[in-house]
Amino acid sequence: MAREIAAPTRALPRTEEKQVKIVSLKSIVAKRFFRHRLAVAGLIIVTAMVLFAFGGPFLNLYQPDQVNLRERFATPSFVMRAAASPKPAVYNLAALQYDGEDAADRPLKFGHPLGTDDLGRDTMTRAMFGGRVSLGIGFITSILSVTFGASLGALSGYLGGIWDNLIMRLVDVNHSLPELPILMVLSKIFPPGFWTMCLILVVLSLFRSSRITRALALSLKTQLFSEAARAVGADWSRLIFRHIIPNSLSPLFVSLTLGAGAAIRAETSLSYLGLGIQPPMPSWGNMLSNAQQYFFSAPWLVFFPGICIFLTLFSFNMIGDGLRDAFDPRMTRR
Amino acid sequence: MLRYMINRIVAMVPILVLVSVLVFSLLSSMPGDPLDRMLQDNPDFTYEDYMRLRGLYGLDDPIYVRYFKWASQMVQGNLGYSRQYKIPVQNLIGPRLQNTLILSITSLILALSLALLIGIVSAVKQYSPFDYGSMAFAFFGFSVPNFWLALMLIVLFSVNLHWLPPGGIQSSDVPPGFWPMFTDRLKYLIMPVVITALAEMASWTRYTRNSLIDVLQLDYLRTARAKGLPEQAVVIKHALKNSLLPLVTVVGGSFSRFFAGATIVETVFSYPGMGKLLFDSVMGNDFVVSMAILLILSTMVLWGNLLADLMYGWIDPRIRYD
Repeated sequence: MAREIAAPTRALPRTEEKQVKIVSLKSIVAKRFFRHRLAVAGLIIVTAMVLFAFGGPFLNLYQPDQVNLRERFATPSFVMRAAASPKPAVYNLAALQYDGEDAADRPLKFGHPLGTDDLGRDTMTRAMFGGRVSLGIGFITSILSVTFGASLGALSGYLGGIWDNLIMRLVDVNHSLPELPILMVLSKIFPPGFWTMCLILVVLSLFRSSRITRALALSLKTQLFSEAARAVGADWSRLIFRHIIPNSLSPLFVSLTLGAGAAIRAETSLSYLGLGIQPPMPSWGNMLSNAQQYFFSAPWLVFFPGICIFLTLFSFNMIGDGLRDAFDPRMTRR
Repeated sequence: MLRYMINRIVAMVPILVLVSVLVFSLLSSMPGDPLDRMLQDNPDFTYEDYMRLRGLYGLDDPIYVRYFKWASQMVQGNLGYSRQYKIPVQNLIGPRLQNTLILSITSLILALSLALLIGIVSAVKQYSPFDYGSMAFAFFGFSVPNFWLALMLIVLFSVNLHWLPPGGIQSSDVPPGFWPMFTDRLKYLIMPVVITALAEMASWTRYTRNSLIDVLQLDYLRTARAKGLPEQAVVIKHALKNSLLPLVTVVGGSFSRFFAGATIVETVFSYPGMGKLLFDSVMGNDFVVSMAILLILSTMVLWGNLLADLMYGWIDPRIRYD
């Protein structure tokens, strides 16, 4: 069996070269990640969710805010009878029922796989568009906050002194703020919408990855390669962005995935409380808060958006776990 | 040790001041002001009255003047007067704080004891069906959105099975006496406690398991076994204490989530605690109430972190405070 060696192996003697397979760190990590079955499952689920949310609307027959009062609270099914043709009589309530006496005569048509809500809007379509909002907020927030937070942490660790003190006090304040209440206040201050949700979530999670990169910067800046870089005249910005941050990428990937999960959780919680994304724009959270009052008569309205949130958070946690194991140097032999 | 504690408590003050400035400026930039409620309640309220009252209550002052006025009352122990409930904030928060403490301390104890138990068993029996089962449960626990699970539990246990009340804090027809009251309160607590405990319990189980697995491979445990100690003593007395450090950090850091994260649980179950009060006061522009609660929450976070740091010394005597 070939031994795995992560470092460049130019110094190896010639005789050993035949048995040694040179493997890059990237491929080791990828190999270990794909051996983690649950993480792969998580990756598949997230991919499926992204396809569902961003690709699904191209296939679907409904619009997210297409109201159809004849098909209110339709139970989940792929096929359904077409609605009875409207009778000329005014106030003919029977005509609004699509499964009347002559139901068997009416043609079959594509139904609502996840049912409809109180206005006859298709739940699956709304779940797709809600997924665009929730997943979009998750990805954007997490990328922005990890980028800023990591840079600030690296700056703090590398520059030290008064800068370190200043940034770390900000981090302390950020960590001692209770998250959800502050989010509630922030979302009352700013008019709710997609980009403001991203903004307030980024602001609140800004320093989440600062401590990691600060600790790494403290140790990396004393190492020989940093000294060498400084000796050839690299300034602090080059050291931070070309040496320290690339060397601390592995924990940052983990916080990126976990951060996306956390952002989606925060967004859905806020929207559920009625403070986040506002109707008629769908989000998985506000679909739930709207559905709550119907959960005796239309339980699918509560069930499906929740399943979407759960599956997404579950897979982000799995991927994060898989990445952490894959990057962990202690796990080499597994 | 004492000096370390005093230093830490002194260091809390500037952080709290910063937090209060931040929260104060955030809250005062929220749309609406305390007079809106008067305006709604009284149709005879004129614009002149409004302007006069604004001046009288100092709402026209610049923000730093308002902050100092608020802060000077605050340090004297006057938290203000709630416009929404028409009682002083102290009287409002007292019983709510008590309810929240009952909820969060119960769930803290439940989460911690279950997490330790499950974590230890799955670390000792690594890769057994129990281990896989508990890890699957842990991933379920911290991935499931708590408001959704709460709704699902209400549907199951209150609507379909009629076992537990869907929300509130106590029935109106309880016979007097300690035990009937106690069991009645308990019935209302079960679901909120389980939901609050679940997410933290799940992540603590993983921390306990993973760090115990790391510790169990160390040499000194082989020594302990070699000198004939029973396996139970090896795990509980020797390994567990050394594996607790990471757990203590996360437990200390989770205090805020226990008290503030209860916002959602308390709202779903209409449990009259601080979280629900905070939500209602933010929604109802009850400025002083939100301000007081947010400060209490931040103080709890800081105390939680301090407690965690003090626990380190107890767990690992090599850690010295100076």
